[in-house]
Amino acid sequence: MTTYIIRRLVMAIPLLIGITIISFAIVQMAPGDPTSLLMDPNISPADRAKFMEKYGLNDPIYIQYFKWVGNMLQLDFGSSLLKKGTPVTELIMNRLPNTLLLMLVSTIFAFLISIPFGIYSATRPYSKTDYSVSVISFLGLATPNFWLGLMLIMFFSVKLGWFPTGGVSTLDAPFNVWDRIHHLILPAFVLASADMATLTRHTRSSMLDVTKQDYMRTARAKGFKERTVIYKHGLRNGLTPIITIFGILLPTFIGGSVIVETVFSWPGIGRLFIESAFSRDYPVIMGLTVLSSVFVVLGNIIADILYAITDPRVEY
Amino acid sequence: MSALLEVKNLKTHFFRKKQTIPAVDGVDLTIKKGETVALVGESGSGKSITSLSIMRLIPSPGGEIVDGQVLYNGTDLIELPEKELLKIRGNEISMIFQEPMTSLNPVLTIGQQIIEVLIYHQKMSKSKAKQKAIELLEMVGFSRAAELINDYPHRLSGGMRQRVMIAMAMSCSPKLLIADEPTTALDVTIQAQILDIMKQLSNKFGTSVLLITHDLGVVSEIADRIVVMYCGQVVEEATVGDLFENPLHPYSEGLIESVPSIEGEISRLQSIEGNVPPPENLPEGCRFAPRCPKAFDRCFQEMPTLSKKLSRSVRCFLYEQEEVGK
Ligand SMILES: Nc1ncnc2c1ncn2[C@@H]1O[C@H](COP(=O)(O)OP(=O)(O)OP(=O)(O)O)[C@@H](O)[C@H]1O
Ligand code: SF4
Ligand SMILES: [Mg+2]
Repeated sequence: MTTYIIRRLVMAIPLLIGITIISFAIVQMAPGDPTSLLMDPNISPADRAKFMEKYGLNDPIYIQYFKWVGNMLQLDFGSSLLKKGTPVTELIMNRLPNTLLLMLVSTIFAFLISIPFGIYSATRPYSKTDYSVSVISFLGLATPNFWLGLMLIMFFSVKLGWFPTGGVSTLDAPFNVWDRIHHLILPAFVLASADMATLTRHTRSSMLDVTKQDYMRTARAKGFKERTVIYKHGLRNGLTPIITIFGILLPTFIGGSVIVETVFSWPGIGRLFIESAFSRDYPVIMGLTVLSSVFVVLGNIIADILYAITDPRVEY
Repeated sequence: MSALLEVKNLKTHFFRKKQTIPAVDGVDLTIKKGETVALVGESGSGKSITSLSIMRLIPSPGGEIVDGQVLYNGTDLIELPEKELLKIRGNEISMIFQEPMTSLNPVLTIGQQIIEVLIYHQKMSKSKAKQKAIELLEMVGFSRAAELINDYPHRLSGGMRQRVMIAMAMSCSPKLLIADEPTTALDVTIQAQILDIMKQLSNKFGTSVLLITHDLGVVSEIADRIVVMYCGQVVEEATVGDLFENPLHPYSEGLIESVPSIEGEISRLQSIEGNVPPPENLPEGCRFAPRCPKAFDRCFQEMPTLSKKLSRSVRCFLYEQEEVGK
């Protein structure tokens, strides 16, 4: 098992190198350069050259790339071009915990809600409940996160006043767990909504497939209650493919967090990304791109390892 | 010997798009204590559906037992409340299937799959159940049983998996074992071994066996009586000796003539012309009439009944009036 994990990690290295090259290239190709945004258009050419020199913007592209990668390996993503030159690492570290918390809670939401619904649908295929679950899933899939977020804020926060309209906690209040949870529920739900739909559909089809398997008939022939048959013999088989789905869904969580954090004024890396993108703060954009890529790659490795643990047929 | 299981006028139909498929259409069957009964017939004759109906494991929705009784020690299993039925299923009546490769759960160890039955039905402690599981695996011929219980099914061959299935089915010393073509999917060399194990264990535990098979060669070795099915009905029922020496029904006659002389199963019945009619499109009158070399006018108009003649029964007009004996 340990060798399997190490092998999977080593295999990820070329992938990560590719990711750094691509993200570097994309930012290079983007129109406009930081000087045009940061500086007074009437600046003297000499000052402009000084600025370019200071940030290494005059070096050949490949030198810029190697410098950037080399620094990154020491967790130095450079300094923000704005924000008074705060190191990117510091900017990200300030925001990261908020995003991780949001993603964790919405993953829990997504699984807790979709798996029971998926199983319920699969055990009563083509029933009215099954059709209702399908319709709601498709609606969830088709509803844009920003719209759902705004609607929920309008209804639950503005009209009913049940939840705050945004932020991680009440301003200037001492730390309070309930207050934090209170602020988390709406954004986590919105972030989970699209993936809930996908997960429900996958759980349903996976479990529907499992209920037709011969070993389920064997379990029934043993005299077990239907519930035991489904949960003890079916669920583990049905969930194994769902674990890999999680690896696929992780990028949608990261992408979704950009929108959800903006709608709910959630100070996480998603909003940091939007802010930096609008101001062409290259070091921050690149740092965030690489960070989220590493997340996705790691998420997939974790999904593979979990898969190997739950399915004894996987050889490693 | 008294009857352990009496199936009376069992009818299991499938419903599909306004169409009724009478897969099992009035089956009568008796199994006595300690007896091995073979159920034979071509593919599609309703053997599997009969056995699943006895266990009340018909896939639903789709199929339904529409009529008849399954009397087990006098109680009708079809009328039995679910809770009572679950105490019998897997405990007093157990079943092994044709597909050893897929009948075991791939994510549970072999030990877990046997132990769970013992804990559930016999209320054994975990350690005692584990001990018993090892014994059972030794009984079906595994020498490394203590290690095997921690293995997953995918490491075993088909024959080994079927032995595990037998160990599992015999774990509660059942009164009745239903074996639906337990050797069909296996290598010819392994078939004899599996049947041998089944025979040994059923003798040891005094278990009655309902053996479903294509292979008449197997039947003559292991069974006491034979029930021949055709198109969802029983067409003949007799002791093995009677049937092989003197088959009455023209279909049984054809089956016996087509037993290959050396070994193997009947892949194609040379001596019976034509094919089994699909159950949704059955001929009028005797269902065997279109293929029967002895058919006469009446056969195409009326359905013969299963009539008892001394120790055997047959469903054919040729034997309706005369006394049949040895
Ligand atoms: N799920 C189902 N839906 C519709 N019809 C079915 C279904 N299962 C079985 N049948 C019908 O019942 C008939 C009898 O099937 P059964 O499986 O009992 O045959 P069998 O005698 O066991 O044949 P084999 O030797 O191939 O196993 C089949 O011809 C089929 O048309
Ligand atoms: S009843 Fe007629 S058709 Fe049917 S088996 Fe007997 S002789 Fe043949
Ligand atoms: Mg069958």
